[in-house]
Amino acid sequence: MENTITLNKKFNHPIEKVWEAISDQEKISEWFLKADFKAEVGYNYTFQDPKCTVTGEVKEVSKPNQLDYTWIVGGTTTETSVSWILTQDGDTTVLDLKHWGIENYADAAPNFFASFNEGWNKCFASLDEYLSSIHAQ
Amino acid sequence: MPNKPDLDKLFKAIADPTRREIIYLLAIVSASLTINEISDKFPASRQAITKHIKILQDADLLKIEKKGRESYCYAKAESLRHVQDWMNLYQKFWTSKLDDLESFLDSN
Repeated sequence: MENTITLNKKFNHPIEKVWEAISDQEKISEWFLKADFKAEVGYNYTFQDPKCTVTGEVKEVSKPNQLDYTWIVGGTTTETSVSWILTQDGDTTVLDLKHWGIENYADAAPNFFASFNEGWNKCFASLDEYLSSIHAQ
Repeated sequence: MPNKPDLDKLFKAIADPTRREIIYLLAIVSASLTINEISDKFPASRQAITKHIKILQDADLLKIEKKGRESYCYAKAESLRHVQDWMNLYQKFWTSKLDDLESFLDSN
């Protein structure tokens, strides 16, 4: 799919350790975003940093190989999806990360405006800072 | 770069609730409004609203067309529909987060 982000990365760590890092809420909170998360299908999770909230529902859990969830940035109504696929390769682990549904943002503009809430504000302030930091590099 | 949207301006423009409401009025409620008509809908002064309109215009979210003595404002909501920008944003977000994941794994 054209509008899917696909990243591939190899970690010099066993698959169980990588699985824990992406599925255990305390681990997720350490390296990713502060998490209220359970690797259970149907769980409505929240990732939060001081400025931005991401929510979604866990869709697929196949320990330790696959974890899928929907991904909705705070204040927007656009549902995108994230999939983590782990493959063991000897003592190392290959991660294939996919993020799709991003093209849905094309139709989301009116909904953005329909929800004048704080989370939206903060997310965009955060995006703004983020973009500025990219431009500054 | 030609035709590259100024995301910095775009996000700053829509970070303000009054400006979002102006675009909402133009994009969803009415196709076009004069500056006076917009100004009448807000408690802020006409001067303040004119300033908001200028910022929206600079961010390419709004265009002004003169018809006779009146200036009509139109939304250019297509400026918000930069899927490629979301793609780029997420590409950078995930690349950076996977680097963080690697550092986390390496140090634990």
